[in-house]
Amino acid sequence: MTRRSMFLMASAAMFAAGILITVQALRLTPESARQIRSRIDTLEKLRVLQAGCDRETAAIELYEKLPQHTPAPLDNLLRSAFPGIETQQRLRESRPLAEGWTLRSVEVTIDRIRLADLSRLLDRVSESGNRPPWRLAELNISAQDQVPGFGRATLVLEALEKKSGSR
Amino acid sequence: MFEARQCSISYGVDAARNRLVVVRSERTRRGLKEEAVLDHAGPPDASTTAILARVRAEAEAGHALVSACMPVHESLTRWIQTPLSSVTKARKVLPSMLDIQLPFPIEACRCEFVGVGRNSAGSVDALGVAARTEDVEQRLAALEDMGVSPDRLDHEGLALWSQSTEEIPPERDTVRIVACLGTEHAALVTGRGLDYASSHAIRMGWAELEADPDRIRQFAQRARQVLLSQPAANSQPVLWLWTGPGATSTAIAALQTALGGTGSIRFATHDRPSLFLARALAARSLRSTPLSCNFRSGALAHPRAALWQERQVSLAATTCLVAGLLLCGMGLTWRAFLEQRRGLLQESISSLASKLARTSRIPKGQEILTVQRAIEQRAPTLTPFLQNVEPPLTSLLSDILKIARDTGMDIEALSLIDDVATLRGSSPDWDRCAGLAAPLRNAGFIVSIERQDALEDERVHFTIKGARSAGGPSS
Repeated sequence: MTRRSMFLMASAAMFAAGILITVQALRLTPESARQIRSRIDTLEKLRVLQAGCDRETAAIELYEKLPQHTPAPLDNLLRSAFPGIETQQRLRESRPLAEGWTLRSVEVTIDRIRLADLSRLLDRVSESGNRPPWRLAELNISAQDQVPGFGRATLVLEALEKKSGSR
Repeated sequence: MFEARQCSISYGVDAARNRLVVVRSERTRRGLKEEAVLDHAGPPDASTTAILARVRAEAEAGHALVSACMPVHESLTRWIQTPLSSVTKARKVLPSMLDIQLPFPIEACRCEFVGVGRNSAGSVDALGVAARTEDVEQRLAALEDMGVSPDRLDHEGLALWSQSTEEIPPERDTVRIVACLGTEHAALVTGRGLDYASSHAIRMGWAELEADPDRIRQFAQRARQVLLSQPAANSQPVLWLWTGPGATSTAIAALQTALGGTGSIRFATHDRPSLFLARALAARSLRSTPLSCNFRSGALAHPRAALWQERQVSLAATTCLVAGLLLCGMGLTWRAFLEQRRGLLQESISSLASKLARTSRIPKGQEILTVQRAIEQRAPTLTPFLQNVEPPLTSLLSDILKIARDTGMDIEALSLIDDVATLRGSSPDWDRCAGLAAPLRNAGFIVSIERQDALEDERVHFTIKGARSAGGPSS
């Protein structure tokens, strides 16, 4: 076989290989494009989920930045808002949360309270200052003794706290 | 006609004993530009040799083609009518059909079939052009002796006919006879309209015709025989077109007189007749015509043509090689690009999913499901953080109590638990209690009001119930 015929054969083989590779590439393109589109779609969905997680992280950071990580003592708040009013408190739940935080849920019962004063009480309780605030989770009011404007209130107040030394 | 495509310059050589004419033709945007390079009578001299050497050098360099011809008396043309309608099939039988008409074996000659096509009846016709191989070789040797090395060896009759119809447009239903009066012989080429019919040789040079009136008579007699062989030549006008070096001789007048009695006959002379054949040969090398032919093919092909063909093959092979490399490169690059894009996206997905699910072991394709499950699992420990940054129920309660106080409504019971609100009380009139539903609606509750007719206390007792989807807007 001469050099020339080898060159001709090599050219023909290279051209055939080029055509073959091009055809294969073209055949693979639609499937690859579909996979790429599907992955872009997956990535977009994950980014939506990431936005939700970011919101949670931001909320945790908000608490972490507070100078004190325990809520104001509920006794003190109630006493200062309504001196002389009898209240009953019961720790309803203490549930561990993320990043070392705990959810404290306290049920407060006030036997006789002027309903108009209830908002003031709750505003006072939920004032946070430098501490995690108390949040009204549940409320149950029932009129008492047929006296208009007065009633028995059962409140469930929740607050987040983190003991020092928790991560 | 690969030569014509290759060069834009061609030299036509009309070579006869003691006479040499060379015309240079160049293809330009405006058409063919012709120039007489040599018109020499007598034995070759130094200037002739120099001009031919220059032409040869130009051809050797591949810048020009050189074209000469086989004279009519050393070649022949025959129209072959096949009964076949397929050109491909007809081409297979044409050599056999020509062989029957040849006075020598077809194996001993060079032959070509030109103008192959269907006639009005649908069967295939072709013009067979043949010359004995020995004559072709002798002609080539004679030309080489003169210093001419032609790339193409055309047929004299076809060249004369093509150039004649090119220069003087054919008239419909007129028999045309192109008479080329050369130094050694005269060529008569006949046809009608654009259609070539036949070529005939008369072995009389124009000088003989000029010198001998007997020769004029013999010429006219032979010409009449040629004319009579043309179908319907007696009933149709005949146009004689003189050309060749003898076209300007005194013999023409005598010839016209001798030919004049054969019917409706007109005579004319082609422009620059002495250069006519050389011009025709040069032009045919550059034009693609249906009656194009070249006896210099196959074993007799010019070494330059073989070399050119070899170069063409090499060029085609190189083009294939480069195209193949490019295609391979592009195909592989494209595949790599797609693969990389897919890989990068998968990497981003895996990385983000691992970060969100807080695990590194996520099956491919399960990323969203895994992340959603992880978020759901973490939700109880994270939801309180979000709830505490949302607006509290306190403001909703304040709004309800304020409306009740301002409108004289009594609230007997109020319950707000887990997105369910129940409000029971009494109102001074029927419509007023609806005002308490407004803050609940604003907080996203779907509210229903139940009223009872006034009782002894003359107040309308009502129950308002509201519910909203978890996480709905608060007041």
